Amino acid sequence: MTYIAAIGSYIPSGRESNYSKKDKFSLDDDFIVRKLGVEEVSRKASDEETSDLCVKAFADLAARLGRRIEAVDCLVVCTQNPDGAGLPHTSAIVHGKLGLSPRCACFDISLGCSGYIYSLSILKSFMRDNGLSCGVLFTADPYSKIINPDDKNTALLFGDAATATLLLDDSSGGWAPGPFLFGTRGKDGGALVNRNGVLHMNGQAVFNFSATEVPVQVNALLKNAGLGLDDIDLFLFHQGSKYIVDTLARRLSLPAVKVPLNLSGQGNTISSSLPLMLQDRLDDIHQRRILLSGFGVGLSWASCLLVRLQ
Amino acid sequence: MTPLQQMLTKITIEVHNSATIKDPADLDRKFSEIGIDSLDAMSVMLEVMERFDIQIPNDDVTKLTTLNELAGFVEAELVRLGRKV
Repeated sequence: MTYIAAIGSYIPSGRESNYSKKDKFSLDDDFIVRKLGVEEVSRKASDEETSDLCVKAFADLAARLGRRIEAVDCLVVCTQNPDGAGLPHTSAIVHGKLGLSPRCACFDISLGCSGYIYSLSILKSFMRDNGLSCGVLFTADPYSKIINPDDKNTALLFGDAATATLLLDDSSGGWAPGPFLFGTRGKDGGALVNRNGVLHMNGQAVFNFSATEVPVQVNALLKNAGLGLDDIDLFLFHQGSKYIVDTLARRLSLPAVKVPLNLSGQGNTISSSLPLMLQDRLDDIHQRRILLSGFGVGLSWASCLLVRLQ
Repeated sequence: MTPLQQMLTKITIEVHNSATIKDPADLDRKFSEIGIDSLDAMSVMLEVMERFDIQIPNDDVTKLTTLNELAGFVEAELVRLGRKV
């Protein structure tokens, strides 16, 4: 069974403080802390490419494992802001920088905030169907490449980061992903779009979509699995903003202790936001079932369960 | 206040219980002037759409800056849909 064994990460050291933008965007401290939930957004260095963020996340993964990661069978990068123009694919560039075997399968997945969950499902099936035992899923989507610093809708929210999730297929144990549910509202995709190299977001449209679709999908996922809200130890929602996470928790009547937040110091890191929250919770023996839900650009959304294996 | 204005006031206070809506004149004040910031305004719009089962197109959302403007939109939409205001 394919399972999540460990997660490495890299958050660039560069920061932009939202407090320094208060006058520019007519904000107050209360809005920054209690509504946005983002005090600083992380920014990669100008000479850091998406693949570089992945390489650094991989180094962190190896450091956490305390060993070299040998024999990677497949390497996937989930990004919509690849190296250069996306050709060659960023996963191939990462493969080259890591010096991996020529027998390693590499491909990119073009998804945003729902991307981690979609990618887990894809990689789980890909590994199983092809008899592969070691996969690394990278999330690295530096929106700083396309953000307009004068756009209040986006400049205060999105931060750069990368993660590397090690997926193994043996009997050691870890966290098994599944079941999954997916969704798309392509006709509403204009709500979050890269237009001529600049990100544009319709906040109301994205909020409405998230607040209405996510609770429905979460309830459907649990019903399909024969579970209730009380059977879940943690609900990890994509960290779009504190406001949307709080809204989802309220709409699902979830206690705050089961709905952690992690965006104050770096912002919304797109597909990295879920693995960043998972990273330090994998070894918590008190957690047995975690629900993940990611939603955003597409408009796309996905939810899944993670179940701890013995 | 009309029943519709009362309903919208109730929704707004549910979203942000510190909203300053004490008399009818407040219904013509901008959301920001009655303590409703941009994110709370999004929640108000969503609650209105769900409670009245109507759509507020994105282009119209930005034009509805007071409760009375919102009430006018909701009333017109209900009439258009042949529903009781």
